[in-house]
Amino acid sequence: MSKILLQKENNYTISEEVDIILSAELYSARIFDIPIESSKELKLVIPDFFEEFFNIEGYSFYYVKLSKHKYLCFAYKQDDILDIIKKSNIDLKYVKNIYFLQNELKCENDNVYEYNKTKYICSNDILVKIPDNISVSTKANKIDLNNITLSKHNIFFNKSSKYIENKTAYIISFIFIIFAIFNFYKMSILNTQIDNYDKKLDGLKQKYSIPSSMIQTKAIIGEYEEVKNNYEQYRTALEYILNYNQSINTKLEDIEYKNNKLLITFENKNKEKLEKYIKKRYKIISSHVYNNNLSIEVKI
Amino acid sequence: MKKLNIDPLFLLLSSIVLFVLSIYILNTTYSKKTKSFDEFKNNSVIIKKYNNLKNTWAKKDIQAKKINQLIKRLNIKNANITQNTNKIKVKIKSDINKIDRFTNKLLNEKLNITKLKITKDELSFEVGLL
Repeated sequence: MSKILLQKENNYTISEEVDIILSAELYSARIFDIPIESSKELKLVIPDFFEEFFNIEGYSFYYVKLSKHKYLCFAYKQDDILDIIKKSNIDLKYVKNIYFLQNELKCENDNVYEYNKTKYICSNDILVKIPDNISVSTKANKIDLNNITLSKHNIFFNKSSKYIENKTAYIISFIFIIFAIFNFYKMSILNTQIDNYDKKLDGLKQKYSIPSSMIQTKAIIGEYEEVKNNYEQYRTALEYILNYNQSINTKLEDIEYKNNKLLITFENKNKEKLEKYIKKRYKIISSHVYNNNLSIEVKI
Repeated sequence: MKKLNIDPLFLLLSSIVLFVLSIYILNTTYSKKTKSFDEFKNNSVIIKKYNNLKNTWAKKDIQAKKINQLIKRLNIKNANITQNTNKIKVKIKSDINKIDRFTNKLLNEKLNITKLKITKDELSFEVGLL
């Protein structure tokens, strides 16, 4: 992976991921004695220290601990750096990490460094760019990017949006992810319930030896219900006719039931009355009198 | 001061997409569960109905047992029972009182009677087997 030293008004042709080292003019660095250890508190107070030197609006901050209560602090404008990256013809998707030149060079006081005709001097342990119109007699050390082993001190830019703070974006993302996890958890419970219904149904099918298809089962139920209906119909018909027989105290000679038809033979007492009674509910197929008996065939 | 190397906006959009996707999948699964429950409920009713009807009308051994019990209970001696795969044929010769009592009991039993003939001294019937 390659490294580039980002300076104003340079052009690059990049087609792979690069680490960018920010030239000293792209950020402001100061060493502060801050009697604080907690990183949370440091983040809060560092902007106040820079405020003494310039208006800190739009700046982001970074620090490196040098020793106890001594911090090397950086202030940089993310949007300005992003603009320079874009103007330098670098596609943001190729930018991996961004470093400060201060951290990547061994800054020895009064040493002069040079890269691409730009000179830097180390003054009071801080690397600063020497303005182009000032000539320096001290021999400059050429900066060879290939010899630089990058430190762990890099910054990360929100390259996509100016409208949302990183922290807010992380918090909202976290909330969405938690809800999504909760939904997936609920979904897994529902899937288990679906599996249980299937298993219970299979268990019932096995227990009662149900045919494999429900269509077949329904067809068999239809067949059974037809039998049940026939049973109920002939019982009702018999009951109806026998009730009449009891009321007029006629003598029932014989009964025959076959193919949903009832053939009943009475001792012939009152043909018309009996027929009238049966016709109220059932259709008489035939009726005839022989040997003083009345034989009626009824469709149930 | 190590920062998380994920673009926050990318993370935010991804998490929104993930959340929307989770809601969609949850809704689909919930509909599937409701459908599955309804199917289970309906099929359970059908299965129980099938089982009840089968036990009442279709068990050959139960149908034969009901007839034999009736004959024994009424102490009918002259009963001729023949059975094949489709039906049980029964012919009983007895006095009118026993025929009458037997007929009453028979008609109260849940049997698939396909033929029935009652005379003064004889009762014959056929029970269809499913």
